[in-house]
Amino acid sequence: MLTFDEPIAMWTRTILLVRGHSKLRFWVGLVLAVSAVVFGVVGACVWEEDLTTDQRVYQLSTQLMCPVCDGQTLDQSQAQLSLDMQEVIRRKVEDGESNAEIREYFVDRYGEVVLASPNAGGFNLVVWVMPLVIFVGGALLVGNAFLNMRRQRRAGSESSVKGEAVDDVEATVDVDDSLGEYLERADREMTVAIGRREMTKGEDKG
Amino acid sequence: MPSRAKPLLVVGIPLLIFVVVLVVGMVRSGRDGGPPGVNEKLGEVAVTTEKNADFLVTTLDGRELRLSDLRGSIVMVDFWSSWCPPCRAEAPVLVEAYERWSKLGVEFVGISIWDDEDEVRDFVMRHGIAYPNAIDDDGGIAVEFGVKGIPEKFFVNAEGEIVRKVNGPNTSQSLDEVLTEMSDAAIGIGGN
Repeated sequence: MLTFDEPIAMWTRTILLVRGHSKLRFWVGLVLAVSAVVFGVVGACVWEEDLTTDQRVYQLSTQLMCPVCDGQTLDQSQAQLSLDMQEVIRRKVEDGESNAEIREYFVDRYGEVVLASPNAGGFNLVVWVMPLVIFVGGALLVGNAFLNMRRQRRAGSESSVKGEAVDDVEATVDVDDSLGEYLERADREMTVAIGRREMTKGEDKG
Repeated sequence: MPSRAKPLLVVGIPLLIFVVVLVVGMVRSGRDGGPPGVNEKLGEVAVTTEKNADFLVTTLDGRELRLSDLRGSIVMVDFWSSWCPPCRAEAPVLVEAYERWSKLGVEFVGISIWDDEDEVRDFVMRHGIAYPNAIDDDGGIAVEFGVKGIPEKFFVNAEGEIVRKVNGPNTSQSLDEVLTEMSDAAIGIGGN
């Protein structure tokens, strides 16, 4: 028999298992994210059958343009034709016609311009697909730019580490060279100085 | 690929596609008649109404009239309003045309829309309109016929099919032209 503690223990075990594996963590995260989106979208969907007549009339009124107004849907317009069209929608909803059938009825009479959003077919498909293409393309571009930045930063830090090491060696070499020169010069000068002192001592004795 | 060509391709190709889509869309929308408006085209226009559209109305004199009952005759259905200036200007033309064409079996039916009954009755009396007129109370007939403005006329052939549509007011000559062509077609002269 399943007790209350068992699901909690199962989740705890799963979390502990996933924590240690980065690949598994990625896939579990992906599945959870996709599930959240799918359930969110399905949950947000409103089905025709669940709406009242008034709600469906309003819904369709927001999807159809007033044919004699500039850029107004039926619900926004106060033109007599819009009010008549809403009345026709109401009759058709009460007669049991589907939203698609009612939209088609108006398209047959007023053309596709009567639709607030174009049908997803033929050339109009571009309007529906384009935003997705732009979104995916944009995401790829941003991802690519991000990867390039990371790569450059990594290459930069590696070269700077290498550069510092090279600088140290070069500095040592420089120091060694200049010290050698300095010591040679010091030797020369000291030799000259000692020579002069010897000469002076000899003259004094003489 | 040279490093300079890559961003040019990444940005340039989608931009080119976007511009092409925009131009094609603009050309297409222009060809389809542009944005919705009140009869942006006057004169004869393509018929978008269902060919066998029908209606049942009660005329001003109390009779029931169904469009499909007039099958066998050429019918001109006129959507009008008493407050519409072009409709007022056109009324004498229609009265005169009906006098001539009714003798040849052509029927006229007036459907007043977006109007007041008293105003309609007064208008019909004042202009001496003899053909049947009715009021489209809820605008259902206007919507069924895809009416966008007034006046709009639909011409129905003897088979009961809506075959022609004219937006805006007619002159006696333009009305005669359409009805002559339809009559000729009905008796087998010319097309239609």
